[in-house]
Amino acid sequence: MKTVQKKICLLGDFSVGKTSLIRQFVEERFEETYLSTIGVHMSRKRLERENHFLNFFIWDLAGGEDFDVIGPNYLRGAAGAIIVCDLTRQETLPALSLYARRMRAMNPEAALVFVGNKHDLVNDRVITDAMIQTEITPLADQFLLTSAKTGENVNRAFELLADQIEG
Amino acid sequence: MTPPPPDEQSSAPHFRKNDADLLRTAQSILFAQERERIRALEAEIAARKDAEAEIAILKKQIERLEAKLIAAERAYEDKVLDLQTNVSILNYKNFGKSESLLSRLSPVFSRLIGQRIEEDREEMAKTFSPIMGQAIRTQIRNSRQDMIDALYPIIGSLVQRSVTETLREIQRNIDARLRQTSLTVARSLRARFRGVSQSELTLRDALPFSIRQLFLIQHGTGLVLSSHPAEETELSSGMIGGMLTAIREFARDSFGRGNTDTELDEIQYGNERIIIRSGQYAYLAVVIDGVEPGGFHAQLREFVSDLHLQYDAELRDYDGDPDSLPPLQPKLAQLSNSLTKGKKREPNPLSRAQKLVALFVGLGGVLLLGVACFYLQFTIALLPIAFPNPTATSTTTPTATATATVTPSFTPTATKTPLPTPTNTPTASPTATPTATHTPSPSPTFTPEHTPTNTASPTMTLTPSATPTPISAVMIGHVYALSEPRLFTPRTGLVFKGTAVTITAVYDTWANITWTDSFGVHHGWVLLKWIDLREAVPSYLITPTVVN
Repeated sequence: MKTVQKKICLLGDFSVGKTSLIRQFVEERFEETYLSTIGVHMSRKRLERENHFLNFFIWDLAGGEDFDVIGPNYLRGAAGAIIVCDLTRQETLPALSLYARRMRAMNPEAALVFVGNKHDLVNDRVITDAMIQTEITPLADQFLLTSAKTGENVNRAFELLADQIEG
Repeated sequence: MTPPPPDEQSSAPHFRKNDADLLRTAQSILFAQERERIRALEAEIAARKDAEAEIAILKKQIERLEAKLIAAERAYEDKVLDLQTNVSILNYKNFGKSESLLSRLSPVFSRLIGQRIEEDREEMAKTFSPIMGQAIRTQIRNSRQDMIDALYPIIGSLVQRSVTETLREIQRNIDARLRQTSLTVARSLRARFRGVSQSELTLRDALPFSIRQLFLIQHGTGLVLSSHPAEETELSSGMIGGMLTAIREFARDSFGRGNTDTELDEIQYGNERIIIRSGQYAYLAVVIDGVEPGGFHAQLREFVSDLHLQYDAELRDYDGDPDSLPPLQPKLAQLSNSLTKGKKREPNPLSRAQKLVALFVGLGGVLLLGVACFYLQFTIALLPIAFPNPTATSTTTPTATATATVTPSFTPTATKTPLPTPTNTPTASPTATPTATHTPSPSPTFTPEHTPTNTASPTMTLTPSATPTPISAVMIGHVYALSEPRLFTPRTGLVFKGTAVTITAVYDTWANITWTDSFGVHHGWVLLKWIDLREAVPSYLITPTVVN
């Protein structure tokens, strides 16, 4: 079977759980400790598709102000992106549309999957489904609630992205 | 019609009546025709009048139409003028300046062209390519300075990169040569035995160099298009491609200072280095160990350039699907081979027979060298026996002095008589023989015509002066000693400056000297000016010369 390679990016404000999502997806583990990503971190994951393999080269980009410093050149050539917000921090919500626009500016046909992470912290949740829907409405009509800690919907998010890229 | 004569009228009244009838008939006939003609003429006149009236009407109509036409023309001209005025006003108001027009239209054209390019890039390239060259030429002709200003940042940067690279190449070559220490001949032989070129062997020995891996990576995405050696899994090479691309982007953002022409072209880690050569859509990363040989970078650049010329669209449009790529792996393998082995044709290694012949020749040479050494040593050992200590040489001199005493004589015959060594002491026997060569020298200078008068003189040759004492002196220059006291005679040896010599005879400006060196005792004639005389030359050593 042939192997198709794709570059994808994880985008979102700082400390929303991008690196944790990737670690859960790639290594199937979770760490409580938080280490801020400096610049970019690279990971890879092979997905078995219907009649081929799909190699995801995942660019985990530093969020927040670091992203502005490093520059959006890292987005070049990406086939898609998972854009993440932290359900327990409302200030991370506007970043969904912000990063989506930046991604589309670089790659107009890029696939986008929106994710509300830390769904396991039910009591701390401040962002509702409706708020997410409102934020992403012009760009997409669906989103996923994930938990890097429990692994909830993590694989589903990446598979959804793969479907959109190859769809 | 003429009336009948009078006599005929009076004589026949009946006839007159008939005539009158006839006349009337004829008249009526004639008049009828005339009337017809008159009517026709009148009708014609009437028709003409009608026609003239119609013509007049038509003329009037034409005049009216002409008047209308003129009026219309004038109205049209007025309208044109009005329109022109309006256009001028509009131009003045809105598009008075060409820059304004350009600034208004350029976004529209840009959007149109951009949209078209996005729709069909290849088609647009084909459309523009025929006029690009001409457009550039025209622009250069029309505004050369503008083009220079526009191209300077690119050309300047290109030239700078090229010069820098060339200088690096030269530096590497110099380093390589400085490291070369082995003998050339030995190296050449070794190269022949190994079947490689001498330069290759030199470089290989001096600078260990190997290529670990080659990656061809797409810009932006960092996806690896191909690698060599081909990996079992594409994952690690893919990671390398991604990270390299990220590092390049980081370096450009951090250190490029907005200059997109400069790129990261080398990463070093210990002995390993990653050399990067960039093309428009992909770049080549070569992981090497050691110091790369001369021409390495030029070869990489050529490869990337050729690859882009050949697979321009494929490299640009690659979206991760390997089916869309041409077979790049063999090209990388070929490049790797040519980089490590070089493009030059290797000399064939020696055959077994050739190696044997070379071995025998070498052994023979060594044997000959040994024999030569032994012979030389043997000769040196025998030298003192063959040529004893030259202390006796002083005793030889008397022979020369004897001749001197004889010379008065103007008799050549007499000069020969003293040659016999009786005057010499017996000890001088071996070395005395050469003295015979001295004696003839004075004789040729004398003309035979004197001899008759002096024939009696030979008796004088037996004068007791046969036992003169030679005097010592020192050479003040490096001089060749000659066999006779005149120029252009055979040399007997070289006397070095500072050598102690013994003067055995003097003739004119020449002195006959004897000296000793490691090879034995030598004799010869040298000019007096090269000798530092420590004492006056005794008269018995001086051969008188004829003064005319």
